[in-house]
Amino acid sequence: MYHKITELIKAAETRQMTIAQLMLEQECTYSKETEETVLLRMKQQLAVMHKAASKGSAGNGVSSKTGLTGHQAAQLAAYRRQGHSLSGDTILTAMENAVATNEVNAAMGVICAAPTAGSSGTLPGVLFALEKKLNLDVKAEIDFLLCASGFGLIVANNASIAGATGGCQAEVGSASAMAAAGAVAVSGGSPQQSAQAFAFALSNLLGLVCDPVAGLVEVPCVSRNVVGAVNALSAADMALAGLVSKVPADEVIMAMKDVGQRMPRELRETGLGGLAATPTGTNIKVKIFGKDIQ
Amino acid sequence: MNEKYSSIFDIVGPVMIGPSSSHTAGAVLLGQEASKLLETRPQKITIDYYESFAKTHAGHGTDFAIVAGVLKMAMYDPHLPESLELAKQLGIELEINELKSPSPIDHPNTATITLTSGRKKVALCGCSIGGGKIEVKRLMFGNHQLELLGSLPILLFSCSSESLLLVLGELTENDVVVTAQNFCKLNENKNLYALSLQKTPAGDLTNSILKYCDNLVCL
Repeated sequence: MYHKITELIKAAETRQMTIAQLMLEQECTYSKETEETVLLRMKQQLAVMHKAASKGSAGNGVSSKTGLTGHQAAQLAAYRRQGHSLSGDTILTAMENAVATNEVNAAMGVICAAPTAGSSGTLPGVLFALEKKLNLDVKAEIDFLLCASGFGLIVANNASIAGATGGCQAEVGSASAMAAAGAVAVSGGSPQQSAQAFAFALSNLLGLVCDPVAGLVEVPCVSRNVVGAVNALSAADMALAGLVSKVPADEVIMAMKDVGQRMPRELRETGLGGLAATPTGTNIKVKIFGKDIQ
Repeated sequence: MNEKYSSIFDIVGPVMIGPSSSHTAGAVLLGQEASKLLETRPQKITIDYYESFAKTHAGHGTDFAIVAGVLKMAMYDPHLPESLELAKQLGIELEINELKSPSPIDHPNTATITLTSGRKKVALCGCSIGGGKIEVKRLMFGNHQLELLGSLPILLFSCSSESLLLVLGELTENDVVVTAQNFCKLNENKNLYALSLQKTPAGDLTNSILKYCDNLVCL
């Protein structure tokens, strides 16, 4: 078990292994399963991600029971196909898959949490954009998930991945940093560059609050996954360009924990602050639940 | 470091029905664990919510998730959101309370699930710590209360203090590491024990432990 990112990077460098290989080895030791079994299970998680993303963007897409979110992935897809987007095809594809996955989540469909359900669109967003851009095969996509899960385990055990404990920075922030590390790995970057991408991505989302309107995992969760995915791609590009985060990844994790602990409870998944407490947020809550459930 | 998450599938996973891994998937698990404490289907389910759970349970589907768990549904079952209807059809009474007081186990995602069947009453107080992982901190069997460290798996059983040694011996022989032990007195001769384990014991091991104890449950 790697307790720190520095340990993980050092092991990868001294043993000349990828982070994905190290995580596969660790999981086999922990679960006492064979490599084939672990890889097959990860392939199943990947399949669930693929299925959710396509369900969310196919045709008219899906809609939640409340009607608060839905059909936006399909709208983004149509816009992307026109070819006039400002941020280009890769970014648009990431946005589309992130929204699609989270719309399926909001609609109570089947998703794979990564690391949570509220942040479940970020990893697929990045992964499926890179699949198209880099022609990734299934093996490379599994490597992406293995690498990302290695970084995710270290965040979860040193800080938190729950919005109620650490705000959205703990969910979408963690997911974005995991995705950034995985993106570097499948783009041919070094383990050290994965750690740099991770540090940039998490640093850039520090302080992000969890303020779900009406307490629903819909607004702003669906679009927060867009920033998670896009931020991950930018952070990966920064690291691949050779930029180095001044504050190392392990210290950024501790900063995220510290910020989470100082965050007032109104901004930690209680639906009492931020966008949830705006006049519009309050009106939506009253409309859906018939009364102010505070 | 406190290793609450040990598998890569704790992070990329679980596969679940949305919308929230802590408030929906974790809630299903809390319900499933509570249901293990009662041999029969409950006549009444009482859920006491604290803090974040109290504020957002309606929006996150926590109610249907806990009830689905009590009814032993899986967290990826597409019929999960229909569990409240199913409970109604089964004649199970449901009471939900949003408590204003802080969590008795100091976590924002806390629920106490009380199951009643005839004169039998059991309760589980636990929290959902994120990404679909849960901790069980307190159990109540009638008037008996047991405090726990939290992390699963936990082996629960009743026996005498002499028989406990035999159970521990059997676990050690099978390389199952016990990380914590809690107990409460049931009567003159018998205690209720809770052993926190590093890994879930295999089925044949629990069968051999049954020689020495009663009411064996693995949370």
